[in-house]
Amino acid sequence: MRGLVSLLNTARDGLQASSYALGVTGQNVANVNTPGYARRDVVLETRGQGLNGVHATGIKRASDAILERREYQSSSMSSGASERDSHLAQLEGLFDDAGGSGLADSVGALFGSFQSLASNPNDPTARSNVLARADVFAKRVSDTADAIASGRDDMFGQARDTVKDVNQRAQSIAKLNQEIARAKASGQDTSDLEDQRNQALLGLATLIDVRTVADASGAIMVQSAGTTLVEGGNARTFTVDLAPGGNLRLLSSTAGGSNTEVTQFLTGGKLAGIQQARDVDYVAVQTQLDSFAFSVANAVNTQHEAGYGLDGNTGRALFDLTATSAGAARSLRVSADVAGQPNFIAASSTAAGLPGNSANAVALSNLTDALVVGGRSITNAYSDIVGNVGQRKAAAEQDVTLRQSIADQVHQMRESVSGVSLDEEMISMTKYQRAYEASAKVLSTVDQLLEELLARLG
Amino acid sequence: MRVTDGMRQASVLRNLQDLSSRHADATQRAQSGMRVNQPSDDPSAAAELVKNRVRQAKNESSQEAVNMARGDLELAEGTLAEAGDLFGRLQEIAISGGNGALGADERKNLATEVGNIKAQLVSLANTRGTKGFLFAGNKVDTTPFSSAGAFSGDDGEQQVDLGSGAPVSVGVSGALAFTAAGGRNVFADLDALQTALAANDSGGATATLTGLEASRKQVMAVRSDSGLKISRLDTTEDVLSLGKVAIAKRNEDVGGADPYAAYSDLVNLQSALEQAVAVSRKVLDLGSLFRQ
Repeated sequence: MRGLVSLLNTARDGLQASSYALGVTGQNVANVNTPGYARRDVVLETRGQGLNGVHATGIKRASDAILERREYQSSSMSSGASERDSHLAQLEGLFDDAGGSGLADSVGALFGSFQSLASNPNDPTARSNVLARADVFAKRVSDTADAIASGRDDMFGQARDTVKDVNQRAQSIAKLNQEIARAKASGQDTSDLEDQRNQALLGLATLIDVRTVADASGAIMVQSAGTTLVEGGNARTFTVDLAPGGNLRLLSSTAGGSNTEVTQFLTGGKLAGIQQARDVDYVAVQTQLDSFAFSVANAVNTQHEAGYGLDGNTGRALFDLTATSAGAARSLRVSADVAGQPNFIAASSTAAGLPGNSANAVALSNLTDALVVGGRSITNAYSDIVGNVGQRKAAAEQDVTLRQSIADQVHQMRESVSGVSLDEEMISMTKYQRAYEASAKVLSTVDQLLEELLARLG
Repeated sequence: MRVTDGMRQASVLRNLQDLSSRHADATQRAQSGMRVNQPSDDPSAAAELVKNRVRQAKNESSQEAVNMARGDLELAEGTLAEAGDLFGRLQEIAISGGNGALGADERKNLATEVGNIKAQLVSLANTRGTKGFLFAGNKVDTTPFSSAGAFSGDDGEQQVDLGSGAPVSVGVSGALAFTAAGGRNVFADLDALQTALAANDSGGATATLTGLEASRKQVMAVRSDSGLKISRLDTTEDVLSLGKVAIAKRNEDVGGADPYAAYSDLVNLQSALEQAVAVSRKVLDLGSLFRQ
């Protein structure tokens, strides 16, 4: 039979365990809004065999490794989709004809000026108007192409900043891996460090795709863009530069100090969104715009060269143009042959017909309906560009909605496991408070018994 | 499922963001009256709206071209009508000049009047329109008829683009109206009459009647052609007006928002947003065991 003195120890254990549990509850309550915090559960065990009391063996971090891995992945995909969508919103803004940007009005005005010229081929105002409209059209096209090119330049800068951020976070994760392994080896609680690492991984996942594998030491191996980014306490570094064609190239450093290209394995995060928008969407629209500008200017030049200016000369181009469609939009401008020379606008189809013949102006005006852009009319070709931009943006929006929804769902599932519920903590607090009071009562009762016993023994 | 305070907060935030976004879209639809405000709202509709924008611009410049062409054609028609009237007087003079009772002085006076009418006719044939000389063909900046009636213009007919895809001729040929290119040299017929009268040749004056009638018919034929061209322009203008309405209607069908639906959406979302804010307050008030 246990003595009264040992009962005092049991009561002391109860007080200590309840006090510890109340501390854990307080910690949970204090961190209810801390990002990445996983609630802690106190682990209580009976002390030895028989009536030997209780002791708190430690705390357990409420987490689910599978859910955490899924959260990294879903967060990565969501971030990539959002990034691409935001860049496509800027691209869409360049072709918002209803909002005042876009090329439709300048196309309409250019061919309208040919139409006005046909009505009055000898009128200096109509001739100057053709030059002015051609200049506006060329500037609008080149400004749009410039904006696309600037957007790509900006995205390259963003990609470099993002890669720097990725490298810093990878270093942090590697360091945390080391600290966790060290703490685990010495039997210390690693919950706080694991929270920090989880938060760092979530941050990394918004930048680049992340896959994780835990090892026995508690360290986590991180794979990104098809390569191992963090292994134990070591982190590799990524760099980004431009391939000869101008596309982004993501390089991973190897143990030997050389670099391996891993761009094709990039699947998520801000970096993938930038790469997709910059080197797929923007390039496709830029190519389409170049082809449009080249074909329109070429068709106008061919027709204009066939006509005669008021000075009786023929063979002058209206636009300066590159030899091929590559870069045609950015370099489009009114030809130096006719710039500032309204009389050189070729409205007449014959020298003898000057100055009243307007057949060439009519032919120029009718080019809007001619199939001069890859078998499409000028109007249809431009609407194809607008439709293409719209489809890309709409698809990106749908992707954002889907990816965000999945990310939210996974976050809710992880939060359901790891999040702090104030109601639960209130109940726990009451529970441990009562246990503390009861242990105190045991202590008091034993004290009374001992006092009684000592009094009788006299 | 275990529900935490963080889940409640995230849910509230997500719902409010979603409602705010939909409210902003509905506001834009109601304000602009358009369902398609950016290409991504409906890419194929946006593409068609862009095409219609260019078509509408072409339609408007075609209407301007019609108005400009009509102005010159109406002026040409009026001028040719005046020219035709002059031939009435010339025929009267030819008949008078053929009267054997008329003296030499009287025929001389008639010859002087014919000279004046010729000068008047030359002046009419040198009338200027918005683009230059109306009856000069392509030589719009060159006076087409000398005082003697010699023609230095050409038979070029001005063409315009009225949006049909094919060039439309809107010129009035001075060559066909007044020169041998139309069958008779009108001024030569006047000269013949003037010469006969000056020579006191009554038979010669009478003999010019046939030529004068042919000249009158020639001028009237070109006038009639001008009238036909004006009539065609009227038809074209009607077609362009219908086209303008059709394009506007198509824009409305393709990209327009139903105003009642747009307003109703806006009101519903406004109400939903207000309710969501109220519900959010209550939801965020949960976790209240600490307050008991």
